[in-house]
Amino acid sequence: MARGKLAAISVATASVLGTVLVRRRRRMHQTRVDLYFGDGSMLSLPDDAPETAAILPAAHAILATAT
Amino acid sequence: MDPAEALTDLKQISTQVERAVVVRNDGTLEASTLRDGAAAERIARGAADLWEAAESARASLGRPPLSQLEVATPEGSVFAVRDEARMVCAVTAGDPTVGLIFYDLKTCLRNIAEEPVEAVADLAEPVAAEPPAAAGEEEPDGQG
Repeated sequence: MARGKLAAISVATASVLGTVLVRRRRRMHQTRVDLYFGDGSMLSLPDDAPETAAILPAAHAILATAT
Repeated sequence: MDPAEALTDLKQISTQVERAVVVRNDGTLEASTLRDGAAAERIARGAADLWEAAESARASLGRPPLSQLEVATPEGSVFAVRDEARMVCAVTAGDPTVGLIFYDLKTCLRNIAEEPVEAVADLAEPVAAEPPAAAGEEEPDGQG
């Protein structure tokens, strides 16, 4: 009985950890632009947004020089 | 604080910041963590271009004035924070602690901005010596 509970808790914990890791890994490999405004609001632009296309070249140029 | 000193502090505080530059809002490079001056100039120009592109996006989206930005890519992230006088732009590795980086960059800008306040405080002494001419009219500090 106790072993069954322990196994269930282990499976649940592993599944949560796995989800977190997969999400984090996916997020790491995504390109996005986050703009923060003077009124405290924020806008996250995905990599396929037209505004992102205009911003990315400058960011890539900085990264290429810095690394 | 001197911009170069502020960047040294930033590098000590934030281990995630790999490179950083301080650029005046007219595009002049003030300080950088890079030894290669030409590379620092290129990053400064890139930071100015980045801000300009972000400002255009902001305008087209009809949003309020921009205060800071992050561009996250698989190769790393670029951060920029700007005040009335200058911008600090930093490069980090992938998946940085965003809130912490912005906090450190704002602290860096604040430290630099505090420098003129000290200069004004130095100038305040001779100004304070003038009141005897107007002694009969009003208290020098406006009280009364």
